[in-house]
Amino acid sequence: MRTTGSLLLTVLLATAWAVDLTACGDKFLRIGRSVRYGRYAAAYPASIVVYGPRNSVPARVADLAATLKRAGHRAVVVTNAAALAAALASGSVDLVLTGLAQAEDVVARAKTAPSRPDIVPVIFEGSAADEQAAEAISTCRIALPGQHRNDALSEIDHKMELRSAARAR
Amino acid sequence: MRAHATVLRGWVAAALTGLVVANHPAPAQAQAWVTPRGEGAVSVMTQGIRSTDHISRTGQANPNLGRESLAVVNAEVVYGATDRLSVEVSLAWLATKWVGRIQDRHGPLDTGAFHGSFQDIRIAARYQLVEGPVNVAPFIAYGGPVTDYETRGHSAFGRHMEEFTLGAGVGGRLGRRTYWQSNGSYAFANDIDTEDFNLDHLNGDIELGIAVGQRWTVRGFGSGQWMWDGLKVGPITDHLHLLSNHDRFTQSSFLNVGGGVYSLNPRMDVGVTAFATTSARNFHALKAVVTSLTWKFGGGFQIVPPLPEAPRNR
Repeated sequence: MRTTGSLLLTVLLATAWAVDLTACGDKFLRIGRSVRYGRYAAAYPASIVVYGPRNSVPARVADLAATLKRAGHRAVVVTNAAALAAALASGSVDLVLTGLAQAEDVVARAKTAPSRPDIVPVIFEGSAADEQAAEAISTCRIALPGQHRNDALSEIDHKMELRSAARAR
Repeated sequence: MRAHATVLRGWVAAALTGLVVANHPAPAQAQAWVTPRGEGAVSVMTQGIRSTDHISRTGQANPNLGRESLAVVNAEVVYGATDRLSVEVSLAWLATKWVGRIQDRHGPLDTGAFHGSFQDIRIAARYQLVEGPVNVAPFIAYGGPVTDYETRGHSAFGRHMEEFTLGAGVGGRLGRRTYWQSNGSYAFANDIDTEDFNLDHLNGDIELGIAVGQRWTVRGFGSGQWMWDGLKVGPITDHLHLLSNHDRFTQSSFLNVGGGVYSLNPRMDVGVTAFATTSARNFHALKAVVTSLTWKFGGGFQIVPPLPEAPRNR
């Protein structure tokens, strides 16, 4: 029994002190997720626009909007520039998820939108250059295909935390 | 007279002991959020349980009837079949030991040494009925023995009884760092043909959790069981024919309170929890330490291939 207890304690401590590889929104895994088995509830429910033109990265993530809604966000998918402009004009958008190919256009539109939404890039099989480009847009991003849905949701929570803090100042 | 006193003492002792293992309570079963589609987890939970006091039908503790030690290993697999429906299968193995006066023995395993056995399997399906600020997840479960384990004695492994359970978990957030969830269930115990007991029971628990720092969730909980029929501990005037195998029929109610910490990580969760019995009838005063390791799988996004390029107009 003593040996078993020591082993469990070792595993526990090793887990607690393990190096964290998902540093951006990682802490929200603890906050947003129920204790058992992983369904995530957003700490900062947000109004999110998913910009997914044909064959863009967000358009190829079949369950992206559903995952956002299940976590408690309000998510709308728009597939062309006119719909994006209309959504941004509503004045209530907090975040826009976009592929890198569309990011430049989205960033420009966001700067003039009434709610000044923040941008979260969505990368698929990203190269080092893609990572750098995404980093230039935001410290938080969704990196596919390897990222767990809960990790992506915690990235969004972290982005919203930063947004809330910036607005409070 | 001496023989009669021994019989009564045996009843008092034995009517309590089997319930320790029969109910070997998990820290909390509340689950208001169902595992999403394609995600799952394999969990191994260990419980070290110790009992030194037997609790009478009036709630009085008796420290003179020996002490029980239990080691429980519960393995569980959970899988999200759809975004709203998950299935769970768990199997318990346990080892029991009783140490006490030789005249208080009442079963073949009451030797002072540990004895081990697989106990019960539990199969459950859980449905996410409501999502939002308040989440509701009803469930149905079947539980029953997987071996012909011993049901007699302080060291009995359990009730050896089939049950169908209907219940629901309810939960939600309390601010950004805290959550609550609660669970209620009604278990229909199978009828024992030769006896007139209704051994159905009502269970409930409530849990509060708060995220602390970067890696930890601290939780507190209470869980209870209520039964309204069955054998009661104390002087017995009827059902003497159940003396040798009475543990299956005891009316036991209890309230356990505890707390613990979890370290939640993307692929593995580790938890340590402790709980104790704060009040009971026809039961044991338990003190337990629970550890859990959970390995999670699935949870990636569904990536679809690119669509063929649309033909260009000439």
